[in-house]
Amino acid sequence: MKNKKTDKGIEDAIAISQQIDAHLKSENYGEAMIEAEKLVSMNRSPGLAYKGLVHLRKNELDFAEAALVESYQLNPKQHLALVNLIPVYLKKRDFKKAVAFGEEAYKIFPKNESVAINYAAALMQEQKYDQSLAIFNSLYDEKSPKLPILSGLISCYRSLFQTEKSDELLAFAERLFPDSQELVRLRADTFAERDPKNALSSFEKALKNSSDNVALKWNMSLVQLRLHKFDQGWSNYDNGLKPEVGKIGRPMPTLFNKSYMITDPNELDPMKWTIVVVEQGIGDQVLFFGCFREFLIDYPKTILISEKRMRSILSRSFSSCLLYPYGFGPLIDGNIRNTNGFIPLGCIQKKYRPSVDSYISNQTPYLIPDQEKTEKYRSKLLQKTGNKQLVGISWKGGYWERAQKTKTLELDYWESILQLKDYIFVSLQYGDVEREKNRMQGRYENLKWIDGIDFKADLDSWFALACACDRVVSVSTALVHFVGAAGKKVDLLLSDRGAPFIWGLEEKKAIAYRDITIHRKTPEVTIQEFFKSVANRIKHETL
Amino acid sequence: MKLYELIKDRVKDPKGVISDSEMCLLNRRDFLFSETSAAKTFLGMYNALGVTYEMYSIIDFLFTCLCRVDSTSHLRIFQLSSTMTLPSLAMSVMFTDKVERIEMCLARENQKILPIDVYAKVLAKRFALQGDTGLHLSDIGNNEHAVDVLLCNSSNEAEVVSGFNAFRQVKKGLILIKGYGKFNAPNCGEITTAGGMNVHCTLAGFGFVLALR
Repeated sequence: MKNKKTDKGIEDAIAISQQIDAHLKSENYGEAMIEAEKLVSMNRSPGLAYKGLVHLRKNELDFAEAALVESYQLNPKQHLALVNLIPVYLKKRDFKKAVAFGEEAYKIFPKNESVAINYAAALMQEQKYDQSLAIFNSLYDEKSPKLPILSGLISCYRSLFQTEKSDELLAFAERLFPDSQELVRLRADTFAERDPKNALSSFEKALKNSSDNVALKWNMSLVQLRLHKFDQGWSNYDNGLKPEVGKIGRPMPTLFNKSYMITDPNELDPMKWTIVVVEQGIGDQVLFFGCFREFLIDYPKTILISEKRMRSILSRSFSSCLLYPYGFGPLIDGNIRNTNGFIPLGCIQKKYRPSVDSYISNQTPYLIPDQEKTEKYRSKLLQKTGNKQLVGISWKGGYWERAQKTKTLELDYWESILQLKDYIFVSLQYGDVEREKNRMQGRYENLKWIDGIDFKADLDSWFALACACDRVVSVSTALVHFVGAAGKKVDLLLSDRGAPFIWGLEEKKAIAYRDITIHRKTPEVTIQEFFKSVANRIKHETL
Repeated sequence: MKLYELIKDRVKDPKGVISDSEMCLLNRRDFLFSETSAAKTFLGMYNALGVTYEMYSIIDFLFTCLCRVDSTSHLRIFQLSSTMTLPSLAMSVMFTDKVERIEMCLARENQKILPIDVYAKVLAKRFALQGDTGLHLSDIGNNEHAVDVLLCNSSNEAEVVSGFNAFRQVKKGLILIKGYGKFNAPNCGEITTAGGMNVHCTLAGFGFVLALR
């Protein structure tokens, strides 16, 4: 008798599940939800899994997450919940969780195409391009190619700098799917660094059909800025503050998430206090400080929120401004009547740096090193090295893996420069340099490694040491911005894989700083030839 | 870090230490001293970074208890002891424009406040004005819609007794007693038991009771 009852229950549950599937297919979400609720009362875990699925289809992500997580917690074998948690977290841009659930689901369903595509997409967002590429490749069928798989492959190849393959696939995909908006976006992203003018027209075309696409506008802003179309670029740059763009955009410190944010400086009331919050990436931060003195004249009642390691440099450089730590974030709402809320530092650029001229006419140094430390380091180094010219060097840059690959020019290539006997080269490279130190041991007597200063934590000493040098030769990294902002002479080395927007396209001199010479490697010359030409220039230049 | 300095040679590589002259916790992370701590930021604004661990903790605790107040809230601070000036000021700095209304009944002689800059001075002046709104100790518990916060110091037994007695009327709010866990400090067991109150004494040293009615 009992078994019969159980069988009936299972049959009913299956029938309801089939009804939900049918409602979902016909996009009848209201009916699907009613049936899902019925199922919840009969069997909670599968019921919640269906409920979560309906919410997901309706793009109600918080509800979807709550239902699916509970379903999966109740029954870890509830695969419907497991596989749908991946797109939920992809849409919520919580890629770590998407990867975690994706890994689980992919183990169970390696042949399920949608699981594999979602998992590979999550891996790509976490910059695990090799793993992502392997999955997309396993799904790719040349005879009947599918757009999501082709898109994934193009993105992976582009991220791994396999440009020929990405270009070839992009052209192939465009022939197969000529009306695809996804491919217009991909073309724009693919050419953003290599051919920004071409990319810009693709961005404009893509935006015609999806004018509210925040991620597209964010990517376009970087191209506009690279092309020195600052007026439109800075305005689109604010899209990087939106959650849709996520951590590769301009995420503000989470302590400020609940506070009132202003992005247009013209909306600030100078009679009230203004809280300016620095942005991630100390290189960009220093670049943005280029107009801060002008801002302080217009808005003297300013409180600057910065990280601890920047405070001594900033208090020296902008002495009229109050400096508070990140912990001030939760205090803003309690004082909103006497403040304007907060403005991210990057947002003030649109008012003060709308054109190339506005940069060039404001190239005065603005970051001040600790003079006492600078002189102490300089005299010590000169004493030890016999009064030769001091050249600070740095060869690694970038925070994200892709940016590192774009910016870094390994020390082994620096031979032509390090062979210049009349100079002493001081490593200003932050992070772990043990590998390079060991490799270079005994090879160059004029290459010096400084112990006792943590270049990442003690920025003030690092900055003073850099300013103690006569010039700096470096790849695009925060160091260039610091010494550039102090008015020092810099030789900036850019690879042919791309560079941050501020270095533009063809200029030989940086627009934002007084004395930065840009050396651009082109695909036509070898890396050795490139370094040789830089070495020759240094050699023939009088310091 | 006085107490830890005394014992540090006897402990093996602790993963985090919280310590002052009276307590030492090993293998505990301390969020109060990070640059993201609102309590530490506030104390820095008033040149008070050298206060005891207990004071850091009190301010952080008050922020925690009241962090969900909003534009519909009516907050009333009753400061029974002059030694609780910093916590009262902290609540003014944290919540003034966040709530619909904030009122303060400050102690007769407040401790000297040392603002570190012009902005901290502006907020200190606002705080002084908030103490002039006609709120009295006799008002404790007489407004069921308000959140009443009572701040006392265990060094004055009469103050703690009157604080607990008054708190019995409070529907929504809390009483916080600095130094409640100190040896020889009054615990007012009879009054709290009679009032159906359980005082939780924190390791940092203060005690508190919440009214959640």
